[in-house]
Amino acid sequence: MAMNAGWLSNRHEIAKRNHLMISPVYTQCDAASLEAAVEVLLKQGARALLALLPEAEQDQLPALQSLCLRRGLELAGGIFPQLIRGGQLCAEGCWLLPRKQTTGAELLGLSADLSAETAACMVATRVETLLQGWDPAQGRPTLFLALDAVLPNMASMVDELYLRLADQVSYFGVNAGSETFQPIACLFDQHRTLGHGALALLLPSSAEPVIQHGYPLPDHVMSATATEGNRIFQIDWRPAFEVYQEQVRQQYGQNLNRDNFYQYGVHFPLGIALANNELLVRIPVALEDDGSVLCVGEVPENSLLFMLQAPALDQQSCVSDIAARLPEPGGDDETLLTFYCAGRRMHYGAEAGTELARLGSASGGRSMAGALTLGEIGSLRAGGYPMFHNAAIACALWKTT
Amino acid sequence: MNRDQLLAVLYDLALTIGHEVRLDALLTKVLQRLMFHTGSPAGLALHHPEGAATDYATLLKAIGDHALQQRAGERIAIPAGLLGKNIAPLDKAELLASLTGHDRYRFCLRLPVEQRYTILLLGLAPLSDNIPYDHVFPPVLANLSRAIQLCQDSERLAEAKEKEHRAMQAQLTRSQIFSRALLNAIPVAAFYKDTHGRYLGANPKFCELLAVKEEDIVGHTADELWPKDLAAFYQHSDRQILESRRPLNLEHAYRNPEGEERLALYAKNVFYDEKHEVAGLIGTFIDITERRDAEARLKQSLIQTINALSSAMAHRDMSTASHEKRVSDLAVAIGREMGLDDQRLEGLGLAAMVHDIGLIQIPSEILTRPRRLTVEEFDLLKLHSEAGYEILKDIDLPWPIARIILQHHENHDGSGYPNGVRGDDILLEAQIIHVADSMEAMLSHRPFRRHLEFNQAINELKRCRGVWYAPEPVDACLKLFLEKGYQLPDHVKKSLQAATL
Repeated sequence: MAMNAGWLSNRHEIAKRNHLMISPVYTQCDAASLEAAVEVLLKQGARALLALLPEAEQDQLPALQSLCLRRGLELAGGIFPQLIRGGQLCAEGCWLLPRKQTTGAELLGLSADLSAETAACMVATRVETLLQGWDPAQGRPTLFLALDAVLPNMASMVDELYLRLADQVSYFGVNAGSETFQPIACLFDQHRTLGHGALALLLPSSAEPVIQHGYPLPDHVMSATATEGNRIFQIDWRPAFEVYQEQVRQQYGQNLNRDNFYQYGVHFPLGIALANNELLVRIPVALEDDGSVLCVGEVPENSLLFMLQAPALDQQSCVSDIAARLPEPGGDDETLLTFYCAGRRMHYGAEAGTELARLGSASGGRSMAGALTLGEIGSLRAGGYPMFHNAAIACALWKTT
Repeated sequence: MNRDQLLAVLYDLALTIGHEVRLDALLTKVLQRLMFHTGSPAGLALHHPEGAATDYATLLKAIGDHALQQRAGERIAIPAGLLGKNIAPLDKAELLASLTGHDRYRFCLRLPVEQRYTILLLGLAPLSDNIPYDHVFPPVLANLSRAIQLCQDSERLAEAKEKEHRAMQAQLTRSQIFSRALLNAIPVAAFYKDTHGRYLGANPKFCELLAVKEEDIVGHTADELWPKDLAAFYQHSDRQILESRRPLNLEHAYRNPEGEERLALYAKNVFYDEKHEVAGLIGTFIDITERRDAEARLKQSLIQTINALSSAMAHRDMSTASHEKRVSDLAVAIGREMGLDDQRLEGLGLAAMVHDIGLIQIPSEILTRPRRLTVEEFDLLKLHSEAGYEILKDIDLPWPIARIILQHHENHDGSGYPNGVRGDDILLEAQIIHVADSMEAMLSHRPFRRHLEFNQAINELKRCRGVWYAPEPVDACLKLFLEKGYQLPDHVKKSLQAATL
């Protein structure tokens, strides 16, 4: 309670304290390149690194961990399908996002049988510890969460986390892991690498996270009549896959089968309608033997579902909406930390690069560092209720001045 | 929002409301779903029992505002104009700042719940204009009001039940402590078992006598702890009690830690659970080895005392002494013929040995005078029954010897002495001794007359059967003499002497 009172509300005052961040560095993952990059960062005063690695470079992680241990650097990060660099996707190298202070990052395993409530309670307890060490002069922190994409109950976890932490932090999160959705150890610190877990760290208030997906609300409505967590058993009282298959055929003339399910799922995701006419996107990623459909993120029972058709790039306002919520660029040393949903990339194909380039341009020409993700966490409105999303672009600022 | 969308939102909120039975959970879930649907970053549930025109309320629940969350349960000031009777979106930043203590929220949606509760959804921006407030919320809020009432009733009931449960638990704990203290205090070994024969506990005396620790026996059955034969006995008696639900007292040997065989007196009974079903059995046992030995010694000493009295009689009057021995022999034989047990036969024999002990007070000249006694002398002689009673009445014997002696001249028809009692009011042992005494007397010389012939004696006995003598002892006596060839002890010796001469 006292923390809110201690936060500085004056942006100028807060900005003066952001000198603790150092500009992100992209480097190749061979030992020599990593060594050289870390050497430069150490000279700039780096004491902690947030690292983003593409799935293809996961074998290089032990070298990075051992280098950080050797050089006394605190390390935290995740493995993602690909990286975003300069508005383009790349499957090699790694991003190192340095900070001058070791604020601590909390890495914890969450066993598969934990309820969302228990898992959130465990994460919240660690975040409370981080908050106790947070300098109120840095303003309200942004909680950066990286979760393993194979966790089955992320939307409920976000609800439970918000119940505990409330407005002590701004929420900004992503899902790490393999685009195949096969379990991999995708979260790490300097000591260990684990799957089925969560990584939490605090970023300065200047991160100002934004999330958008830009999907319009269509007319045709269905209802998820039987669901459990992230699995839809029935839509309109019929087997989920049967209905989904029928809808895709009727609306888009496409024939779905088990083999091409994910390929089409990204083009025809499901949307959960909220009373305020906003949409939560859920990309179906797998088909179970019983005809149920598995999504990334839960679908509450009796949710109002829409069969969405991902909009053409020119027919959606995602980039402009994000740009509108970002503050005016404050100098050259602002990097746009960008996480782009892997499903969205699959839908847009080569146009994903175009969308990223537009984002870079619309955000005031800020340089861009980030990764493809398997789920995103944030509020569609400034200061709104945080939720778990699919098919979204999540951005935050990495400010050094 | 079209009709289908509206119904789905209503259905979601209705389901959320219907699922919860605790007020806190209900308010948490409802606020979460309302925030989910409206995108509001914070939600409050207020209770103001005095209606909407009030300047304070109890903050029942806050979500999304950490500072307010810390004040949940507190009475908070409500700025005028914030509460009201109608559902309304409010653009009242200054009121919200006054309510929350900071200026983060600029807008809110007010959802009154039947004048006593209000839900406020707070936001930084106005809530969507597309939400049809008047369609979505009235049915939801009406349901919520009933759900709050149900939760409160349910919690009150649960609280009352919990209170009752705690009171019962406290009482149970007190009872358990008392029972345990009682078990620990009694100097008798005690144990209790469940219905499967597993020990549930034992007191210190039990552990001391059997040299075991309570924790070593709890959860185990007799066959896991004791020798096979002992375990079988215990399990058999346990089964008996559990089936019959009746207490059982029995004596049984056990072996102490030193390997000595000891005698114990067991008392076992079932105990019941709160549903009045048999929950197990409780048993106590006491080592009675010393008591048994002491009793045996006492009995022996009493027998010796009686024998000593008999010897004293012998020194005074040899014929009386030998009469008593013969009467004793015949009485025991009659008693055995009548099926008396050994313990009772032992008493009968002793009583017969001293049945004429009262003669000790009669001048020996009367006893040995070789003529018929005068009426006065006979009256004096008849006092020997009461005299014998007086001599023995204060000696604590395991048999009613003094009363047997008192009654051994009482007749079946009530014509005897000293009290003229009749029939079954006369002790069986006294009835038997009366027959044996008379039979022996008829078959023996007296200073004042010769003995009767055997047949005469038998006929006399038959004649007086049911008059002076009870029928059963007479029948047994006749059977002995006539069918089993019984002879009085020294009759054998006398017969041999006569044959020699």
